[in-house]
Order: sequence, then C-alpha cells, then structure tokens
Amino acid sequence: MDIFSRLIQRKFRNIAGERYEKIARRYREFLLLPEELVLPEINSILIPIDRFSGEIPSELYETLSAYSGASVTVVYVSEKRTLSLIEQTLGKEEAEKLRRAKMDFAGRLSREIASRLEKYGLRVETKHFLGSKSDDVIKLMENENFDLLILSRSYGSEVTRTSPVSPVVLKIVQHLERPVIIY
Amino acid sequence: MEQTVIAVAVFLFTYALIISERVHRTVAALFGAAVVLFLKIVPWEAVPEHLDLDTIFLLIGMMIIVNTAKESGLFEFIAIKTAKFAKGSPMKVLLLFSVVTAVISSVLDNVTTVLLLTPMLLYITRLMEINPIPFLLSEVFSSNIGGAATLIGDPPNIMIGSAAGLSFNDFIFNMGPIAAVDLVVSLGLIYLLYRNVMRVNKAKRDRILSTIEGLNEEEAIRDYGLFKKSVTVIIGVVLLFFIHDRLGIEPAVVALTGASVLLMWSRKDPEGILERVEWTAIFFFIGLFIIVGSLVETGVIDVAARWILGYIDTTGEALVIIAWFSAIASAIVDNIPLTAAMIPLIKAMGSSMNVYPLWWALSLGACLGGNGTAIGASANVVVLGIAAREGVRITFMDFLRVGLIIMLTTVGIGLGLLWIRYIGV
Repeated sequence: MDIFSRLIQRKFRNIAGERYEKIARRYREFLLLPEELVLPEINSILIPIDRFSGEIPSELYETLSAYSGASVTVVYVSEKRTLSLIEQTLGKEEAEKLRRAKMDFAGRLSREIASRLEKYGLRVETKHFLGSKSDDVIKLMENENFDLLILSRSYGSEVTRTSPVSPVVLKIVQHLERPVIIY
Repeated sequence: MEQTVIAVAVFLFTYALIISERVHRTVAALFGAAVVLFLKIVPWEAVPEHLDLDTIFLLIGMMIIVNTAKESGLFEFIAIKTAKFAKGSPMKVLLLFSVVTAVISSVLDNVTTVLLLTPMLLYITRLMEINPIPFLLSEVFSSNIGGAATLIGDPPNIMIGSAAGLSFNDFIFNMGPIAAVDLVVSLGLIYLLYRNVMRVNKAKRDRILSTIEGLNEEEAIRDYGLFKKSVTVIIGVVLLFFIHDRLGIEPAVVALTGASVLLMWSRKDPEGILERVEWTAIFFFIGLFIIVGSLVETGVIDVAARWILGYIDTTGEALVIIAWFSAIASAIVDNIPLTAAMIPLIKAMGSSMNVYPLWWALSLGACLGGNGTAIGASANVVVLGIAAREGVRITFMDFLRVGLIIMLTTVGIGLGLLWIRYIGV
C-alpha cells in the first residue's frame, strides 16, 4: 500500500502542492484551535543586543508593558572570535582597548534600554560578556528557561535588501521552540 | 502501418506515465505530443484541427475568474459561513459542506473547490474531536458529483460539450437531475457507513459553537471591492451560460468575457493573475489532444470504433458499455486523458447509431468513475494529500472500500435515469 501512498503524494505535489501551501498559510492567519488562542504566560524575557541591533521601537516597549512584573535580562554579547582575530593581527594591547570600548558601549546601551523597560513595570537585569552571539543566546534560552526572546532582525550583522534578517537571528530562531519577537 | 504502431505505443506509454506520475503528467503529455509531431504522424498543418480551442479557452477563462476571485477571500468567507450555519453538529457539517462543495464544484473547478474548503473542514473536525475521514470522503464524492452536473463543472464535461456541441442547459437538463439524486444517495451511504462516529455531546457542541462563532468571516475578506466584483461577475457568467446557446455564443466566449470584465473592473495586475493560470493543466490538454490526434490520423480510432460496433447492436447496449467502461477506466486513469481518447471514438460511432445519449454516458462514467479509487480524480488526490499533510491518514484501501460502493451506486443510478430517458422502460 506504500506504493499508493507515494503515488498519491507525487500526484498531489504535481497537481496542487504549491497552491495548497499558500492557502494553508492564509487559513493559519485566522483559524486557531482554542488551545492556540491562549496567550502563553510570560514571566522572564531575554533581550540580546549588540551594536547592530539599533533602537528598540516604542511599539515593542508598549507590547512588553503587557507583561508588567516579568523579569527582563538585557544581554550584550561581544563576539569572542572577532577579538581573538584582532589580537592575532594587531596585538594584545589593541584587542584589550577594543574590548574595553565594547564593554563601555554595552554598559551604556544596556542601561539606556533598562531604564525605559523599568518605566513599564518590568524588572531588569543587564549582562555583558564575551562569547558567541548565536550559541550563547541559544544556551541562555535553554538553560535559564526564558519564556520569550526578543531580537532585532539585525542582531549579529547588518541587514541588506536581499537578506532582511541577519543569519545570526535565523540560526537562533531555528534552534528554539520558545516564542520569539523579532523587531 | 509503422506509424500506427508508433502512435499506439506513444499513446500507451504516455498514459502509463500519467498513471504512474513518475514524471509530471504535463511533461509526459508534451513529450508524447513532441514525438508524434517530430515523426510527422500528426502533420503540423493538422494540429489546429486536433486542438480543441473551445475547451482550452473555456478553461483559461474560468481559471482567470477563479484566481481573481480567490484573491478577495471569497472562498474562505464561504467556508466560515458554512461552518457557522452547521452550529457544531457533525451531521449538519457533513450535509452543508457536501452541498456547498457540490454547488461550487458545479460552477468552478473541483481542485480549487476542495483546496479551499478542506482546511476549514479539517479545522472543524479537529474542534469536534471526531474522525475527519467521513467528512473528507463526503467532500471528495460531492465535488465529483457536483462537477458532473454542469458543462463547466469538470474538465471531461467541458471536453464533451465542446466536441458534441452541447450547451450548458443540455448538461443541466441531462446531468443535473442525476447529480442531485446521486448527491443525496452518496450522503445517505456515508451516513450509514459512519453514523457511529458522528456523535458529539452537548457540552462539546457548545464549546465548538462558541469557537466557531468567534470566527469572523469579514476578516477573511482581503479586498471588499474585489469580493463584490467577483461575486457579481461569477453570477453574471453563470447566467450567461444559461442563455449562451440562445445568444449563439460559445461557452468559451462567455468565460473569456467574464474573465476580461473582471480584470478590467478590478484593475488587478494582469501579469500576477495570468501567472497563476494553471498553465501546466492547459499544456496537459494540448499534449493530450495531439496524442489522441495521432490515433485519429493513423485510423486507430476508426478501427477501434468498427471493432466495438461489431459487438454492439443498439444504443442501449452502447449506453451501458460506455458508462461502465469509462467509469471503471476513469477510476484507474485520470478522467481527462480517458475522455480525450473516448471522444473521437464516440464521434466515429456516430455513423452507425444515435450517439447523443452516449455523450451523457461518457460524462457520467468519466465524472463519477473518479470516485472509485483514491487516484481516480484530481479532487481525491488533493483531499488525501492535504489530509496526509495535516496528519490524517486515509490509505488507498480505506478510500477504495467506500469509493467503490459510491461509484457503483451513483453510476448505476445515473445509468438507470439515462436508460429511462433515452431507451425507455
């Protein structure tokens, strides 16, 4: 009977495979089962930022105000590999100078975001460290059980017209099963 | 003689490829057509004779109308409205969705109809937490039965109408009553076979009702202006079909007029709409017409017709044989290539008997024979394909067990009605 199942699938692909994908996407916009209509409970939020992330839009702050009382961790990850490359090419001193500059920038940016988030009744913690922008965010989400991840679409690298979402963001979302907001 | 053998070989090889779907059916048909053209079995000058432009343009016109209307969210709107009318009752869901599917399929193509209604049906059965199989099967059967009712409901009818010069009203008059009776019977059979699984308790029904009531059909409409224009044009086109013979215009002209009016009125980007015309289906028809043309050119069709006439003496016998042969064959081969091959055969039989009733026997067999197996009609494949993607497994045997009963019953009833009308009791 497997032959027939394969035959039906081949015929389906040829007759309407692509058309069905479009229709199914369209239906998913407004057909939700009752369990899908329940909003997930959000108690902890992770917001990774870097120099590419840009400003968080005010609409997103307003969205986050719905989770008043939740704890937010704003984390600035500096790419360790970039600093290692600089150390190898320009020397330890230049690398250290860059690291300090990055940490200062991270501190300023995190504080700025934290103060705005606190105005919406959220408890904010900031962190900055050297590591991998993608792997460390995935690990943090998994190990510390954050309920929601908020990412800029340009987190990790600049975006272009042809690649409107950074590859770092794509990698992160492909590895997570938790809700993600991309701004 | 050599050309005859090649024409038959190409025909059989192409049809085998279409059944197996090892390559896309359009590619198979075009390849076969290229071979018979390359070998000059069908001379280039004779190609226009074999290409049935009425069928091709009628299909193109209707595809443009459907594709434009689809953009408005019309079909999702109908699906939500139907779900609301059913009020969470499994029996009403079965009945309403089957009737709506049959009615839409009688005007628009079956594949589009089931593509747009099946997701909604699956959603409702998930809400009801009941086995979706009877509902999906009923949708398939209703689509094929509804398609049999009119000239524009199913491609075999378009081909038959064009080849025999039959009007929209001829189909309504001859096939409409058969389709109506068959729809009632098939619903009755589905109910008898699955009545035990179609029960939902009161509490669950209330919960389903509140969820369905929460759906807003207005949200499904993406473009309200286009929605109204599409409905107006579809109604206008159907009305024109009713009087096309009195006006002396071909059905293809009605469809093309409707398509151009909708494009002009909606100001939709024609490039986008024309891109979505199913050109693979159109080229499938073109390839088939040329392959069957090679059988006509080499005299194979005449020989086959003479051979059949050697065994058949009366129109009544021919009626029974054509209806059952096309029903059984179309449960195995797609009904489009089957009809393409049968049309010249019936035309050739016209020299010895009244073939008018035979067109209806062919329509009956080709359209309703598709209910017999899971691969008998495109609508079956589409519904089963969608079901598989959504985690509902309907095997070939599951389908065959019910499909065969439906096919034998509906073709039997249809044949009985044709017999009463044209042969007498």
